[in-house]
Amino acid sequence: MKGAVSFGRRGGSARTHAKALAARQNILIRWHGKNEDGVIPEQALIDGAWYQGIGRSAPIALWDAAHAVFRTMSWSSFPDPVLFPEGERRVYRLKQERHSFREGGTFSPMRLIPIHHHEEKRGD
Amino acid sequence: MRRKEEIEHALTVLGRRMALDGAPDMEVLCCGASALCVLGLLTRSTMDVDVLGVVVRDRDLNPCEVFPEEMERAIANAGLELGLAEDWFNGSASRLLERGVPEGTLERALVHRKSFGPCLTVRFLDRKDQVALKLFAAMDPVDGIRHLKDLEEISPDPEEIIHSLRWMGNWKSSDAFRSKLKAIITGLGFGDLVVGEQA
Repeated sequence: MKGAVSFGRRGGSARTHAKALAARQNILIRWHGKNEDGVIPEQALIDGAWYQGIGRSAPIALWDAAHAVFRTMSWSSFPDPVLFPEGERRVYRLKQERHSFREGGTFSPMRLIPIHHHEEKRGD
Repeated sequence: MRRKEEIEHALTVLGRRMALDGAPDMEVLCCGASALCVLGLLTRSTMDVDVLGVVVRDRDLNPCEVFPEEMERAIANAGLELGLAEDWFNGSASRLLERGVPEGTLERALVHRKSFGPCLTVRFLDRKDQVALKLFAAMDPVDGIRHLKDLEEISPDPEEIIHSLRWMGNWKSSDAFRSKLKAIITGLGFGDLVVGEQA
């Protein structure tokens, strides 16, 4: 299928959580569609999945369906005028962004990142 | 939070939580996107309230990277109630105070002063000073572009740019810093101002 998510360290008929996640995403995209810019609508997002996209604070984000926000990791930087462009100080923070289809929203999810933490930890 | 009403609602919830958790009375100066939204200068959403400092004796501004324990608890509880991150109300921007703020910042922010319950009073940074801080943030060599976008939306006037340049002009700075600042100001369409203020 054109635009389908393909993924898998393990090919063939092996069942993995990542493959299942990718398959679920493909079904949701088929059902709800993408807009012409390739942005996945909010209804087709999977709770707890990571998405690559265009955001204000980061290009990847974790979708938190319960609060309808993307969670990202970012930093605020404070340049040092004397040492510039070196010597900046960074403050790291968890940030949140709404879906760009919402009023004032800033994150546009373009594709699922088909990873699954638990599977990676178990190494199966 | 994307609209003034939502930000003010969140601050009202925090003010109530502070009273319940026995937090000390506090007056803060807010900057960043939430302050810009309250002033009606920005349309994008934000889910953070950035605190530049705590107002002391009505005339001084103290850094506040860490709030008192009761205050931190009230922030976390309000965040839980509103579905926001634990540190949605945070003082990470107070590192900016190392370089000070433009002269008269606190007085100008008095116009935008509002109480949220018996414990919490917030001054929102005036537009003129928001422009100065955003311009400095846009100097970030890695990620300044997002602040530049905000600056474009604020659409500063020449007087505000001169105000910013006078603030930054007092600092000791490298050639690279002055050169980048000049490039940004020129890019915003105020190249003629750089010659006069930054010579």
